[in-house]
Amino acid sequence: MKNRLDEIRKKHNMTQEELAEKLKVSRQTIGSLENGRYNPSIILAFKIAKLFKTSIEEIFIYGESEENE
Amino acid sequence: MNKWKNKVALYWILLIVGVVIACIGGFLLRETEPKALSGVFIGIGAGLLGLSVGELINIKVVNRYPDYKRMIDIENKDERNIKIKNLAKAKAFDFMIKVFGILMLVYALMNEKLVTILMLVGVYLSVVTVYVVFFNKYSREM
Repeated sequence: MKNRLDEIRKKHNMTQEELAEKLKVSRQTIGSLENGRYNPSIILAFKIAKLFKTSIEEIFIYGESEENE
Repeated sequence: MNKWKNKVALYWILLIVGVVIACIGGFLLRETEPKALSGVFIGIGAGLLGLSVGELINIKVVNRYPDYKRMIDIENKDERNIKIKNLAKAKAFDFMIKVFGILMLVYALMNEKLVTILMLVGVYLSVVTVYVVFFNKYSREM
């Protein structure tokens, strides 16, 4: 799934380490999320959206082609 | 904090149990038949001793450095790490099931003792049973 996490994080002047610290996940998880290699759980997606005071849809972009992934 | 104290207590108990089992194997069962029994006791005792000493040292070191402890906690609870671990376990389980099947067939073709083959079949079936039980349990829960 594509996402705008990298862009939104940089807009908030946050490093991957700082974001990982706030979300209580590893830095590698943030890296994988930003690269689109890993799709977060719904709970982590909500945590990210809450942290950036936005909606999940603003960060994660759902595509029809991803239905069977 | 309580969880850590419980863990320390558990490893101290395991350490004592390990020493006792190793001593039983080394002194009391030395002349008992079968001879391998003494070795088995020493092995289990030494294993428990090694495990508990290692874990106790680990807990002591981790507690001395709170930042390191926090990092370890995050790494252990990280959802991606958990997912990776579970995927690896699932692959290993699939592989184990195939290897067990082949091993049973090989033993049967080698005319191995019936007891050995039945024991292997028993272990294989117990593993499959655990899978079916948990599959049903999680199907009801989710």
